[in-house]
Amino acid sequence: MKQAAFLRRALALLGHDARRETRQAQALAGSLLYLVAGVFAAQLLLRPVGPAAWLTFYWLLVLFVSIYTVSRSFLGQSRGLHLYYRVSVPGVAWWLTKVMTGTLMLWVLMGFCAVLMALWMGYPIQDTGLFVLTIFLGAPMLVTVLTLVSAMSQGASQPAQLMPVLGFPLLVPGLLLVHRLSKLALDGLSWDLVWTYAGAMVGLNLMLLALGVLLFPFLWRD
Amino acid sequence: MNASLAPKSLHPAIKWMAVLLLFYSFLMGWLGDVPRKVILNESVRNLYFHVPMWFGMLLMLLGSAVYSVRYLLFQQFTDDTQAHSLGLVGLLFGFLGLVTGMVWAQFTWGAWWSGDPKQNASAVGLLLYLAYMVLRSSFEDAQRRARMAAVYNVLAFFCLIPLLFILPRLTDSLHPGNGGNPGFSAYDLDGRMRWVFYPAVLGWTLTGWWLANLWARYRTLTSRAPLPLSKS
Repeated sequence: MKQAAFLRRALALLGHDARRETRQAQALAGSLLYLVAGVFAAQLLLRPVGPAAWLTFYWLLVLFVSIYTVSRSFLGQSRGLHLYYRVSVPGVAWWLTKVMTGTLMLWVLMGFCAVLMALWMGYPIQDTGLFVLTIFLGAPMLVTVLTLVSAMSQGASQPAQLMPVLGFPLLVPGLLLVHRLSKLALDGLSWDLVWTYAGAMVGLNLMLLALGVLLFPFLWRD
Repeated sequence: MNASLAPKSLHPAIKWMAVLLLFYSFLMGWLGDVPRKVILNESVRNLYFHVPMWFGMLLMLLGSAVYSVRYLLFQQFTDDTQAHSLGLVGLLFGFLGLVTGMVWAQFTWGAWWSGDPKQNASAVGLLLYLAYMVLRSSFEDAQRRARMAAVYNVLAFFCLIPLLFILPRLTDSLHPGNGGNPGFSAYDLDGRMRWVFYPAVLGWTLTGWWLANLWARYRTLTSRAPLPLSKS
C-alpha cells in the first residue's frame, strides 16, 4: 500500500520535473542560440565547405552544444530543489527522467543544427533517412554519458572545466560510430554496413544505460 | 598510524619471478633467434615488448576497475588506493606500449603515427585514464573523491573495451588480426616465439602488480590524515 503511494508520488514528481525541464524555454533557447552562433562562426572559417568538413563541423558543434545543454540542466538546479528530489524520488528514476528529457532536447538541437548548416554551408547529405537514424541513435549516447559526467563533476572545485575533460574521452567510441553512420548517409551508399554500425550503437546505448542505472545511485548520495 | 592499513608487501617469490621473467624476455628478445617475416624482419622482436606491455596495461586497468567496484560496495579506502595505484601503473604501461608501438610503426608502416584505429583507440584509452587522474585531483573531500573516481573508473573501463577490441575490427586497420591482416597466432607466433612471449606477458604483469603494490603502500604510509577504517 505504501509502495503504491510512493510510486504514484514519484511518478508525479517526475512528471513535474519533466514539465519543468521542457517548460524552461530559456534553457532550450540558450542552446539554440549557441548553435546559431557556432554554425555562423564555423561557416566563416571555411568556404566552401566540402562534405567531409561538413560532417566534421556538424559533430563538433553537436558535441559542444550537448555538453553545454546537459551541464546547464544539472548545474542550474537549486540546492533546495535537489534535496527535495533526493528524499522523494529514487535516484535512478530521476536520472532516467533527465536522460529522456535530455534526449528529446538533443534530438531537436541536432535537427536544428543540420537545418542551420544547410542554410549556410549547403546540404551534402544524400540519405536523409539514415541521417535521421543517426541522430536518433546518437542523442541517447551523448546524454547518458554527459549526465553521468555532470553528476560526477558536481562537488568538484571546477565543475564546468571538469565536464569536458571527463566527457570527451568517454564519448569517443560513440562519436566514432555515429560519424561512420553519418558518413554512410553522406555518401548515400547501400545499407549493408549500416546494420553493423547501427547495431553497435544500439549495443553501446544499452550498455551505457545499464551502467548508468547501476552507477548513478552512488553519485546520487551527495 | 596507517601502517596497519597498508597492503601487505608481495611475497619475494613473486618479485623474483618478475625480475627473472623480464630478464629472460629481454635477453631472448635481443639475442635469441626470431623467424624472419616480410615487412617485419627483425622488428618482430618488439612482440616481446610491445604486446606484453599492452597485456600488462589491460590487466592493471581491469584490476583498477575491480578495486573501484569493491570501493563502491564496501567503502574501504584501501580499495580506493589500490584502484588509484593500479590505474597509475596501467597508464605507465599504456604509455610505454604506445611509444613502443610508434617505434614499431615507424619502421614497418612508415610513419610514427599512422592514424591506425587501434593506435587512435590506445591514445584515447590513455586520455580516459589521464582524465581519471584529473578527476581525482579536483576533489578535496577524500570520500567524495574516492566515490566519484570509482564510478568514473568503471565507466572508463567499460568504454575502453569496445574502443580497443570492437571498433578496430569494424574498420580497416593496419594491425595484425584486423582489417584483413592475418592474426598473430597464425602468422608470427610459431613455436619459438611462444616460449618467450608468454613468459614476457607474465613478467610484465607481475612487475606491474609489484609497482602498484609499492605505490599503494607508500601512499597509505605517507598520507598525513588518518584514513578512516570504514564508513561509520
